[in-house]
Amino acid sequence: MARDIKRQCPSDSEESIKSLRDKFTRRNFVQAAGASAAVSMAGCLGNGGGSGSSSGFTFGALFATSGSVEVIGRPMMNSVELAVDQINADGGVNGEEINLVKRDNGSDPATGIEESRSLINDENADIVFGAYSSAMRDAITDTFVTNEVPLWYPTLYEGSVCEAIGEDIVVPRENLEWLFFNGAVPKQQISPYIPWLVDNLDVETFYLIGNDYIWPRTTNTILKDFISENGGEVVGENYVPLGFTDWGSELQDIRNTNPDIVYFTTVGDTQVSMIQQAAELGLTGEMEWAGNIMSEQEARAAGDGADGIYNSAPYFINLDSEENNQYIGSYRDEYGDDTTPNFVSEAAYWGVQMVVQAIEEADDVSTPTDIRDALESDITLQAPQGEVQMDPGTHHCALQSRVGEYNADSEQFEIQKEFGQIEPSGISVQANCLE
Amino acid sequence: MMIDPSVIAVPLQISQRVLIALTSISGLILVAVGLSVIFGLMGVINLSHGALMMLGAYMAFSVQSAGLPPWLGLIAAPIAVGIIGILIESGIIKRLYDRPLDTLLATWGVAIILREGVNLIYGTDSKSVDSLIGGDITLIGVTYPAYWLFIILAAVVVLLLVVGVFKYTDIGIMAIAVIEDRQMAAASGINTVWSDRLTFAFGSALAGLSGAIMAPLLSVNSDMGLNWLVNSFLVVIVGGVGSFIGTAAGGVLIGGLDNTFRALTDFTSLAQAVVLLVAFIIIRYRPDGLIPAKQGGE
Repeated sequence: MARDIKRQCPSDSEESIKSLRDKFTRRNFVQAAGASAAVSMAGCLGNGGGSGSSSGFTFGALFATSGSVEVIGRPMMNSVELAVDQINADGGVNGEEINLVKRDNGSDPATGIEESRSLINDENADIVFGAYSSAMRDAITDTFVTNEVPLWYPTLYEGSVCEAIGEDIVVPRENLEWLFFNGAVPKQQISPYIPWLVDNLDVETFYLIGNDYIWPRTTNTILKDFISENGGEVVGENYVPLGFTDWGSELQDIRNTNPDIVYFTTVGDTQVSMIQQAAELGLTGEMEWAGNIMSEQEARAAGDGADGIYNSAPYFINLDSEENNQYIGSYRDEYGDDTTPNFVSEAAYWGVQMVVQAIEEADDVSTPTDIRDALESDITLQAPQGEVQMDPGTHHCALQSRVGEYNADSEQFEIQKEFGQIEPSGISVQANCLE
Repeated sequence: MMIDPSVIAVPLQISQRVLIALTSISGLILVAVGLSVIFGLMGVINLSHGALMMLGAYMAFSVQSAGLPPWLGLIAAPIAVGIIGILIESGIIKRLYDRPLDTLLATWGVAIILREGVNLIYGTDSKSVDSLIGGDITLIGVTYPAYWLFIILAAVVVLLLVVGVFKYTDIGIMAIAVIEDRQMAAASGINTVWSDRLTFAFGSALAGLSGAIMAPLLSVNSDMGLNWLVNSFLVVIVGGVGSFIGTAAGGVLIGGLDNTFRALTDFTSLAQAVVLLVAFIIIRYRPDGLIPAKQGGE
């Protein structure tokens, strides 16, 4: 109900009267104004049924199409749009077209909050797909919880829990009731990956290097457990600020420490410049390099230096499956080579499909609350990455897990190992947290 | 006689670290020197400096992807970005010389236009630029990438060039005259409008050149300049506004401290925070920077 209060119904109806005034004669105007007031009131008194009666669902998309994470935001925005267009071309949801409203969060949490409010209050969004960074998700979560509208977050992230889980692992406590996640959490990428690295690359000593914020730190905390469990040893650890690109001194530290493998949780430009400069200094040849946040975009930007680097992810763009060929093919047709799809845009794409499937499988879904309830079941679908499933107890998804090794000639990750489907709960996501 | 390897290892590590620090310092100075012209000499708070540097990197990328010889990028970048500098000056900056604070907003607007323009033309994906010179050079027992040595050399050459232009060429001396006393310069027959324009273009061209030189070490995308913009202002202000030797000193101090702290700790974020603290203290006690410009002419 808090949502209805924020809807500013009086000003809505004032606005519609103003615009109608230009179009109608005085007598028509009186009738029209009466009718419009009645519609507005119905909207207010209804239980937040975003789209009202017959106009179908409104989906919001809130990604960065400008600012520092634009390069990731654009393929995410495109993929949500692509999924909605395909569903609409196929007859929509329950015979109604989905109305998609796209908003740019400008990579800026304050703008993200503004746009979230606008999507909920002005556009009556029934569900919003949005955010990339944890800072952005954190900033906008409250708006969705207070207004009781589901927020779908399609990014790999550190995990979140209902209750604090000890002092070692820093995982944010969040109100998960209105949040849904279909990106990988550390367990899904790391638990089979570390034993595989240790066995297949014959490595024992690890150097952990990351950007200094919550995701790398949580990932590394979890990583350390897995490394020691598998007989490995962490011989060095360092964190650099976001945007850092001058790597000489850190790479010299790594050279002096001489680990068997460097495990990196650096992101974006920081990661690309690290790989380029490590390659120039000869370090990529001297030791193994592996991580779990390197997409094709970063690898291509790093050029030849990225050759032979390992990455763990639910998805790589060159997977050979019917669903993936369809995704990549239609993406290229629609958006050309301007932006490259990656593991987060893939999640944004099938996130939409999963929501639509949930709505169609449940009976009589019309409000944001209905959508939330409909999503709380073990919906299964064939995503481009393979079979995925919603886990109602955590609002996270069981995902595929695999290892790729980058080949600079083909500009693709070559799949080295398939681990199959992995449940989200266990480490930084609590099983049955929401029950 | 056996020599204990660890006895050699320590001096080797130190020379390697000194070289790395020199490359790092040279990068800072290379990028900052263009700002030293536009902000230091002209007083324009140029927030588009990072975007101009980014354009230079994209010029290097364009030359590479057109299959032209890569060193052409080092010529094309300053020329192209210099021309863009002329357009920015004649379109916007020339109206704002009396309102230095407004140049801050105007140049930020220019930066946004340049960034989004690049996104429209090249797309948002990051680009990769290959090093002009591949391979390693062995120097005093240390193997070091040839291109990283080239960066050190380039910084020295560019710095000498800039000092030479403003000290020994007619056009440079005229530019200084215009900046020191516009009316007097105009009265002596100097075309102040073109002098300003060329000075701004020269600063822009230097930014472009630095982008082309640094591109192989970086992820080339429209946002790459932001970080360098901040560092360049830090170097110019700490070094002393209006003085090229000051900018060089600022680069050596900031880059030197940065690399020293980073080498001594294994927590880079903290080391860089300490460098900023030192910069605050310097500005507190030397508000005009390490080597301020001489006042009132010589």
